[in-house]
Amino acid sequence: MTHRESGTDALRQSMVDYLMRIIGLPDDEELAREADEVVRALDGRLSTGRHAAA
Amino acid sequence: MSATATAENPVLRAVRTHTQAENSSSFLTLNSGNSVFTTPGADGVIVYRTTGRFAVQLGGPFAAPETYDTLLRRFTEHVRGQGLRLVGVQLQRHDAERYAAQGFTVNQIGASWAVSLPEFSLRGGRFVQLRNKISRALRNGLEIAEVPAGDYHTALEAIDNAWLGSKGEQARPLEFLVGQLGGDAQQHRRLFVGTIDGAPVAYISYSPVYGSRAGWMHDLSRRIPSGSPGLMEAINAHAIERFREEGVEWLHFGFTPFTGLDEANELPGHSPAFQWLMHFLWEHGEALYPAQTQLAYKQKWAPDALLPEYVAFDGQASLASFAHIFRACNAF
Repeated sequence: MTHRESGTDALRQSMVDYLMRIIGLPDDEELAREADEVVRALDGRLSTGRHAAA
Repeated sequence: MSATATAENPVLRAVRTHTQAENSSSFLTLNSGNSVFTTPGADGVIVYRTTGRFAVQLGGPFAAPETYDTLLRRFTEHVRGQGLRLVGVQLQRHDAERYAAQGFTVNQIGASWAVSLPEFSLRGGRFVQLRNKISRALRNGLEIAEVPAGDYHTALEAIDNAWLGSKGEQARPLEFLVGQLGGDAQQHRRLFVGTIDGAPVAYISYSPVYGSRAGWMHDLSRRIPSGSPGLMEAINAHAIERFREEGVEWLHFGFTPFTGLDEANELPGHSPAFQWLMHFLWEHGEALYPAQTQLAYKQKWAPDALLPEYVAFDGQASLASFAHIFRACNAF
């Protein structure tokens, strides 16, 4: 399953997990890119939710 | 061009002169270890630290209004040209709007807190606990004096070592977004030290704040871990009385991440994911930063002003950029 297909809570948990991993490996560029993808996916999910609620 | 900051460079002049952002932490730009960016024809400075592949900027440009955008744009180009990723922290609302207009993703990251001194008094029911703590410290023999830092170097170092030792083997002293003692900038700070039976047990350093809420910022503070309750509260109350006698209008308590978060403070284009993360770290981020403990101390003084502070990402909100703010502070 891609990040785009994950549920909102799973993306939130993934975001926290990536933050902890980055703190452990701050110079890992691949990890940073994967984390960016999670943030993008969660931004998309939460933005969609707001528009739907509006 | 880049250079290492000293008290004699244009940084002090810039933070005193270009106060439109009202950044209560602007004096931290004078910390040793910071880098300074200037560009010909633009009156102002940008202060930052490089860590890993990131440039972490403290506040916005301290620049004349007509050169602010030019300086920011050239600095952004400079950072990108170095193969680095830019993240700005402790931006004020004024900065946040300018960064958002230049395409940055801007989110609230926390808040700074300030007390208006002319009306301030420790009388009344809401300060009962605070007064009790102060009384205990004074009954335990605490004496407080404003002193020249140079005369207390050894004592301050002993307090620092005892304080750091109490934090565990992995503890590291924070830098960059916290104050320093010593160096050329020391002449502009004020230091209040508490002693018991002649032995220094705690201190608070205050740094100057410029702008419409000018005054002093409660900055670096340390105490010996086994000391009396109420040491910091008693020293700060003493300093407040001194400041009030001098006609000082504001005491600032500085920035605490993850605090004062409010949807109403967010700007268009912010990252809802990062916004959620800030709320999560307020609730569960003690290991990263003890925001609730820090805020509890500040709220003891019933602050009159909550000033939202922002982070700006060059591009999308980035966990790696956010983490490097803490790395620049020597947190890991």
